[in-house]
Amino acid sequence: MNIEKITQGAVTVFAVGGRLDAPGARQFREAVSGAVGRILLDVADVDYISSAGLRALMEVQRDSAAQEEALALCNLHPHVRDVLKASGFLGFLAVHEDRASALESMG
Amino acid sequence: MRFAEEMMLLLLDDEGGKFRRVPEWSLRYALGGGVLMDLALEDRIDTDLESLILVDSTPVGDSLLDPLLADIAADTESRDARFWVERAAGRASEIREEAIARLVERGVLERTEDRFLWVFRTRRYPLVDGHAEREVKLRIMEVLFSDEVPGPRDIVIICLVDACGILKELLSAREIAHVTPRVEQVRKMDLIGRAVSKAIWDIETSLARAAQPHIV
Repeated sequence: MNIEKITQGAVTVFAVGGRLDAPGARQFREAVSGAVGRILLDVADVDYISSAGLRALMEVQRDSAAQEEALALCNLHPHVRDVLKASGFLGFLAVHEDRASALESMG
Repeated sequence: MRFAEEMMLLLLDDEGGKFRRVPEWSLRYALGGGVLMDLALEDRIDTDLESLILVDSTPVGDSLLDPLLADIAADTESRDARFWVERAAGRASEIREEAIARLVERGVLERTEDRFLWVFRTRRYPLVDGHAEREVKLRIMEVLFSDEVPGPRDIVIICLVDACGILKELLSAREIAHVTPRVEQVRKMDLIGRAVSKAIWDIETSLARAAQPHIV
């Protein structure tokens, strides 16, 4: 799993690539934990997500909510979008079409 | 505490020390599903919409979980979560007995035996320490009566109590009506939980069809 951290204004962008499965989810949690402020997860290069990946997303979302900070996702692969929809996660997450629109929305 | 133990605590009628009756098949699937969910939270298995994947075959060191983990590790076919929920449900009696024994050992429950009509032996499990039971009920209520993102353990226990009908024992009819949309939302969030619910739904549907054969 490749995770690149980029600061764009007030938003920390994590460009995530690879499979968000059990090993990937561990790496993802380690990379994102401790991040403060607004977080954008650009998952353009994530084409697979499992239960472990969903749990990792949920934990990051809970951390952000606890800090009263925004968390958003952008560039969802169709398969990832299907899994997030089937598991009801789209109801909890802010999702944007691309990074530019996400950054504009997150200020 | 494992999900099977929490389930048995929630099933306990505090007054009589007896376990409430819920449909046998739903309890079997829920107990089996609970073991799978514990294995997932222990990072031993993972699931997606199509299959259940072995992540790590190292035993957890827990006799409630390790027999099923060994079965999964020994299997050479690719199976979905539903297959393993059904397989785990086959061990439900052992899971139930072990969960109860642990609760007694921890000092949460006490095992007592009475005689009914001086002949029939009946077993009761009066609650000794209500702390764990209150904690799990509180967790459930906090999730159901809020719109916060639930934690992984909260999602699982709500999937399980909903799957075997325990919520009806915990809440009034009015409260059930109020929280139903939230339960629907939360129970979709765990892919093993979805397989448990689907397995129970399929059995209930087939029973309803058998009772009313004109329904297609």
